[in-house]
Amino acid sequence: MARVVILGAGISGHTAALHLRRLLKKQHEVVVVSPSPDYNWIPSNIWVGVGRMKTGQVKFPLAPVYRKKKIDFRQAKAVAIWPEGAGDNHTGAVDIEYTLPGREGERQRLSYDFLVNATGPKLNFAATPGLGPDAGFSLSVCTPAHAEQTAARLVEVIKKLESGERQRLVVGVGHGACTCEGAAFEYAFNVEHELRVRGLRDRAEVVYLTNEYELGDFGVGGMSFEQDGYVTSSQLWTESLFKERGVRAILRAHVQRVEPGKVFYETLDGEEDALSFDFAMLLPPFRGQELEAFDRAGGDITSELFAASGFMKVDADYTPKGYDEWQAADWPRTYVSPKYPNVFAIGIAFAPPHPISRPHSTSSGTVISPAPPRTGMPSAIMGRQVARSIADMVNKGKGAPTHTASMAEMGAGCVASAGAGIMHGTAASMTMYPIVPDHGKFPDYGRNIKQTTGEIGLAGHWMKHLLHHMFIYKAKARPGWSFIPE
Amino acid sequence: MTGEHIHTIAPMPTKKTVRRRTSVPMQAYRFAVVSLRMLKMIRRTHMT
Ligand SMILES: Cc1cc2nc3c(=O)[nH]c(=O)nc-3n(C[C@H](O)[C@H](O)[C@H](O)COP(=O)(O)OP(=O)(O)OC[C@H]3O[C@@H](n4cnc5c(N)ncnc54)[C@H](O)[C@@H]3O)c2cc1C
Repeated sequence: MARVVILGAGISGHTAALHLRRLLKKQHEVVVVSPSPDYNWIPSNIWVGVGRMKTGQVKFPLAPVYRKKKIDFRQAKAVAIWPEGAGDNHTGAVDIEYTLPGREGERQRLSYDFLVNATGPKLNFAATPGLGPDAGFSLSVCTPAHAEQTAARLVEVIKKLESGERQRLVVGVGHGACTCEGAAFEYAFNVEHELRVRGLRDRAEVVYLTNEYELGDFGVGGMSFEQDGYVTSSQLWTESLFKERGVRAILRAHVQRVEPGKVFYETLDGEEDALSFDFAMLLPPFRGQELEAFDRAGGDITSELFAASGFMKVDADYTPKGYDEWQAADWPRTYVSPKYPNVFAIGIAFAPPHPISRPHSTSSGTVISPAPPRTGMPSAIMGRQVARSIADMVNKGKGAPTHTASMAEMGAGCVASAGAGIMHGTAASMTMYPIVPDHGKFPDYGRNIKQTTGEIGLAGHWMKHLLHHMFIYKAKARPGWSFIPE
Repeated sequence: MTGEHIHTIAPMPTKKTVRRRTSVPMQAYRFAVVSLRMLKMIRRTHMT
């Protein structure tokens, strides 16, 4: 009998768990450890943040799904990994701490034959003083609770606008090294749309504050498309949208601190400035969850398993190199730990070898450029492929992973909402291939420009809405779930 | 505002383009096109 322990029940971990249960015989155990009782379809938090959806529409309890699928669910957080086992016990183990009401704080050591780290990002609000809704002065849409609180603040702003007051709404990223610019972009345009449909747009100033060097970078170094016989860029395309919708943009910015009603930032050229606001939704930078690792004797090996960012090292080439020396082949393919062949990290939890966008920093060394995004589709594909590899290792006795999911070999479809509404909503539907540019294969633009596309319209909104329902159906493991692609 | 970017060279869409973005018949057609495009990408990506 083999036991596979999956840490995290988000997009990548939950996908891995469902596929493993499908692929492994009944005598093998699939255990999921996750601190939240719910699954959250995070992309739709944007719509909770503008009041278009309730939190109950973007999350559901995991326990009934796992009960039905015979997956052992522990509502707990992982705190330490013992990849070599502990003391005389030579089987790998993970220490977990329960968050389940009634068992809070209770610790347990779970042994495993295979371990999948899918713990996603730690929302690192603490990196910027005053950032975030819990201990700071800005809002977030990263969790359903944050998004709900943000929607309530937006209602207050709308009331003020209705009474004739002017308001400034700042939306963007709260640190120079943030990722997830796509989510900030979506929220900015959803807010702008909500104000416009209420006839309040002329009294509101919407400002997008970003660490991107150019608009349309989205942390993937921008994209090139073929359009009407020309090669055009996501930069021109995004700038056009900002111009059309009257959204002001502050680029190349690192937020230094947030105070009540004021955000302080510096830009790449070393200038410092402050911007007053009535409403600010600023996404936090991400880092890995706080997991420690120990060898059998109890020696701390955290830095061997994890990068300084807290993300887990996998089969990538982490040799420090200059931007022009980066290669598609540096990116991981199997997501296995280089040191422990039964330990994997997927989704946001794996350490990327380097950014995708060209890095920039100020003369005093402040990094102002996006960290590489690991969005929903690649995260879920990693979950499925790692599940297949582990299944082959268990069922067929394979000694090494059999399936790959390199971000430099896969494409992604991405639908970025620019305003909700079944008749008046719009979204940008984009495809890109590959996600990580491969200048060896595609010397001109790093990607296949025929398969890198983008268009904006109501069709995109319908698509995003459909994907919301499809992926929640799939995550609930309803009949036929495995036929819905990741 | 420091760091503000003014999108001087970005083209503005024409009224017709903006109308087409929310025209139901046109978007029903675009929905089919975009779905096919996404499916092609999914097929290609799920081959690995
Ligand atoms: C506001 C927002 C909007 C987004 N919109 C889009 C979009 O439109 N399209 C898109 O493709 N992507 C989008 N993304 C990105 C997408 O959400 C991520 O790519 C995806 O969630 C990554 O999956 P993951 O499994 O790595 O992490 P998550 O989905 O974050 O899952 C992590 C899991 O680990 C659990 N966990 C945390 N700590 C521990 C611990 N110590 N032990 C055990 N478990 C733990 C968490 O509770 C959670 O269940 C968006 C992100 C944000 C923040």
